[in-house]
Amino acid sequence: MITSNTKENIRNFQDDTEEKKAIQFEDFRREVLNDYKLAHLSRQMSLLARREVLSGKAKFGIFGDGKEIAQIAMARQFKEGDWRSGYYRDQTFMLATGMTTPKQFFAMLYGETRTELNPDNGGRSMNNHFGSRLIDPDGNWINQAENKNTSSDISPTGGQMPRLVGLALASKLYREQPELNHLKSFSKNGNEVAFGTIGDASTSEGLFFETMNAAAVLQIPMAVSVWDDGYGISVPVDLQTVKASISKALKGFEKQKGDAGGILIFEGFGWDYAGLCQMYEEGIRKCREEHVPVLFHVKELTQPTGHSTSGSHERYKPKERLEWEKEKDGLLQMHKWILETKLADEATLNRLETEAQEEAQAAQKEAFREIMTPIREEKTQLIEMIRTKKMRLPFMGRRTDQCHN
Amino acid sequence: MPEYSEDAPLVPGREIIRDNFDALFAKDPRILTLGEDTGKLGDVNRTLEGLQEKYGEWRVRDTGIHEATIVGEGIGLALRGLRPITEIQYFDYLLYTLHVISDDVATTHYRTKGGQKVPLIIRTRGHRLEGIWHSGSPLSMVINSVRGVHVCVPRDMTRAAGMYNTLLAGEDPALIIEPLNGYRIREKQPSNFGEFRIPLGIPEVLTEGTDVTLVTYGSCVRIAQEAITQLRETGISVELIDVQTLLPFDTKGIILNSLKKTNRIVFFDEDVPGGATAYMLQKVIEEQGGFYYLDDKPVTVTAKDHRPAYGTDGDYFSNPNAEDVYEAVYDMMGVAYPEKFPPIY
Repeated sequence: MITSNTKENIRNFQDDTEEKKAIQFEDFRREVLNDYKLAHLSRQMSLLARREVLSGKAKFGIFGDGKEIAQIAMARQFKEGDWRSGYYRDQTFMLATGMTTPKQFFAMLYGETRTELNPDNGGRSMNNHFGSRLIDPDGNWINQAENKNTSSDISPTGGQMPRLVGLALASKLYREQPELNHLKSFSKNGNEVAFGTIGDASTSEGLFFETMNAAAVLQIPMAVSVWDDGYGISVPVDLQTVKASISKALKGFEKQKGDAGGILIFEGFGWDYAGLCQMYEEGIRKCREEHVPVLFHVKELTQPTGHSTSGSHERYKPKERLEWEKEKDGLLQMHKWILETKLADEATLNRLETEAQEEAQAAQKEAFREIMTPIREEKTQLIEMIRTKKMRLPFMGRRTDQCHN
Repeated sequence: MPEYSEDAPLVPGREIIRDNFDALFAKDPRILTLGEDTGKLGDVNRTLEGLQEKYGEWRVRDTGIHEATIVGEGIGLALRGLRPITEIQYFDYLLYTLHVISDDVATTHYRTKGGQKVPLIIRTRGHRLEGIWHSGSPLSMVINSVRGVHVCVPRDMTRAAGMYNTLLAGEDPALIIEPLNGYRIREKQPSNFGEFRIPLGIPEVLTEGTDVTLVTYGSCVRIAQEAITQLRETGISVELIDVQTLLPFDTKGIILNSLKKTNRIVFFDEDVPGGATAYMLQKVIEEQGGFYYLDDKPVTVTAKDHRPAYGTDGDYFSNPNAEDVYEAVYDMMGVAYPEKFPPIY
């Protein structure tokens, strides 16, 4: 098992000249600050969307708060042609890869039915249920090799695992079977990684063990991230998983030197931006090149707003745990790390946080305006029809102007 | 439709399936199959005999015993442009992956509002063997949980092969349940393997008749044929219809047209009472409007409210037989013509 836990700089700048090093450093700094802002944008979206549900403007909400940093680190390795099969905590990953936008996130929350506004599910699924539009209106496949692809999410957790095996297996076939070489819009030599995400508690499902075993036998580019926030709704990890750790539990699956099968296991901490970036860079490179399955166990994640809008985590998490979650919040830890490494000052970070909040609010307002506009128009039309007595009431078989008699 | 040369031999059903897959695999490199004992053995019923040697270990592949993953592999491969045919060794094991088919395969096109498709074929075999887990056909369990997936129930291997050809010409997900006792029964060998197509949603009238319409599918077709031969000797003319696919179901109203002629109808299968026969009854009597053409109450002939027993007597009483079909039809005629068809007992 490779444990990634670092406070060191995540890049070695090995260019020879000071000038080149300075440019590289500036690029790196910009990337980090973009990531910081994105993490806050996603958090603000979660907070705002929760408010929209609790105030009655949307029906239900389930969010990815507390998982932002790890998903940003993972997204850095996600390339064109790659696939995701995940679940409803992945909004930050979807934003970071460019597969969704803040406005689409809110359109999904409101149950928007127009696919040009809610391309992921057109109102058929709850929020945070993503799915790339893989076929055109005539039913033909679009070019997958040049796009980033996400298979369509389903709510029953664990259910994303079986299809993930197939998505990874396809890369194996495209690499091993020369007679498939002509299918260039689907693969480039099988270089595509299938990224899976699953909550720690859902790893208790039989589907998880069944599919991890199959992947270990098949040796396919399947990269599974386990988001471990210590709970499955109210049930803590020690009641879910042997040794209270999925990476410890899967020790026997680990590929050792000389083994034909097996998986690589990485461990990281959900608040450790630099360590997570390193972990994903190394793990995904091996997965892509060698077609070896990888498990990333991301521990010490938090869930600031609880499982969903249907409940409150204050009911089952002890006070100490709630305090710990505040302290270990990935956003706070990244803030501290940026200041410690002197990548930016407090004022810069505050400005980015404000910008993120404003962007989230603007996206929410616009998405709400878009869903309400046709409803308001129809309401106006209806009132007008009633007012001008042009409407026939079908159950009476009479015109409204006759109803008064 | 299947074409036959003048001297077409009668060959075991498994060879028809095998030769049809051979033609399909040769034609399209995207087609592959995977499942338990699928590769080296060529399926426990030898319907893929020799195909791994011919097409390689990745295209005709052995898997572990993990039905949910088998179907999952099929979903992923289908999403990425390939044409997988995933094997569930026996119909009974479908339960171990029914959640995957129901939650994922069946809803993909719907839940993305037409943004994704899963051109996956799930292949299995069932009906009329022996015992609690290897007999019976809980079709209602399947059709009521996988709306969005075609469910094909061919009566023989020529029909099954024609359905594979149809499904591979399209891109919808489908489940095919081959009749397990049909692999050794000889059928006339078609000459156009990989080409002939059996349409979905179109029942076939196998025997024309005037007194009663008898609707069934799969292995029950042969039992029904046995019963109607005896009924004919008694002077009762039965119109036998094989529905061929349960989802979609009789999209042209062929069963209703038959009922308009006979005014009496029996639905027959080996699911539980109120199972797939109730589904067919609802389709024909309520949806197609068959109610208005009935001279007598519609009847269902099914297995019993328990899983079939293994012992020979228990099996006989658990599963419906030609005698049960005979009695149901005869009794119905007795209502209309009591003097001509007096009670048997």
